Amino acid sequence: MYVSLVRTIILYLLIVVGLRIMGKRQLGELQPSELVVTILVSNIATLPIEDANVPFLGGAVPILTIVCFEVFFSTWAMKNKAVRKVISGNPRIIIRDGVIDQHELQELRLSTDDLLEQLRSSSIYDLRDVSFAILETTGKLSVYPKFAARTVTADMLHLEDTQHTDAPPVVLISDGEVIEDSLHYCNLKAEWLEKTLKENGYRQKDVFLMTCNRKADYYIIPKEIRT
Amino acid sequence: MKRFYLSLAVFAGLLGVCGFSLLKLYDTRQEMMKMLDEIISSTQEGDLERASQLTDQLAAYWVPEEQELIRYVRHTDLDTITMSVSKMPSLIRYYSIAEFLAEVNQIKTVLNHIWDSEIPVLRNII
Repeated sequence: MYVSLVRTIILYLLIVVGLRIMGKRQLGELQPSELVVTILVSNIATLPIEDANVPFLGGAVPILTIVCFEVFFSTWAMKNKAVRKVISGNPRIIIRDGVIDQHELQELRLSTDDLLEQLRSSSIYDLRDVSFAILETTGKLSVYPKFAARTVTADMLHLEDTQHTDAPPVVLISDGEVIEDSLHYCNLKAEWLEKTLKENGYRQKDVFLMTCNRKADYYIIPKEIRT
Repeated sequence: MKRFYLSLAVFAGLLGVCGFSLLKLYDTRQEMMKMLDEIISSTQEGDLERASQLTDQLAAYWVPEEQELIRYVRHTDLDTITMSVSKMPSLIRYYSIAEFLAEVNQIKTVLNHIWDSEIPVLRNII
């Protein structure tokens, strides 16, 4: 049993490293090839874990080969549009200028129920509100609503960003630990942080969470004191 | 591109491991076949003393080789060879020649089978 235990730990680490090599693409919306890779890796990993007669390398070699080829093909696809088209396919427009492309729906084997379900998940309940709908290569539907159905934006209302909120707040202190990179991002110094905490009556170790933006607009949540 | 070069390095390493495992299997098979052929000819010539000595040498050679091959080859095939190798000294000592030669042939067959299933040719891939 110790063999299974150790093999499982090593394969776990190997898959984590493999996913890191493949990058964040593998963790979000999956392209068809990425889905295949994920299924294959998870299946191959179980072989040497379940069957002690299979050499460890019998699992590790195919997993690493798949990881390598996923990186090779995604790099190739990044540089070559034709390869990208073969591996990932093309986004397909299924609603154009408010008109459903029925032929495209049939080609994609997408029923009207599927279409309406996807629209609802994009918070669109009336087909007449849609100007364009594009089925992405990941299977996700991107919707561009008609002008009347669009959310009002600050730009439409000609509002100015006086608070400079384009730079979002970042975590400055997490569970009593200062994050130096965030301090640098906010163009602030350790002295400022020390002074601010003192003014608010906190010590660094008493802070559960502190966020701050580039305007030095901060928010502090102290640690709960358990009795 | 960092990931691409890392993958290239990993893939080169994998090719190296696969090549090394094949080379190791080839060497072991060649050496074992040579010893087994000598055992067969000594037995057929009636020189059982020599056959017994060669059998002991074969057993001594196989133990570390198996430890090495276990990393690359399915264990069940190697277990079959180990079983036969462990039977052989007793069989030759107590003059069970027919059974002894049958075990020798079994080892040769399994060695050939392992080699045939490991070489990267089309019939193994498809």
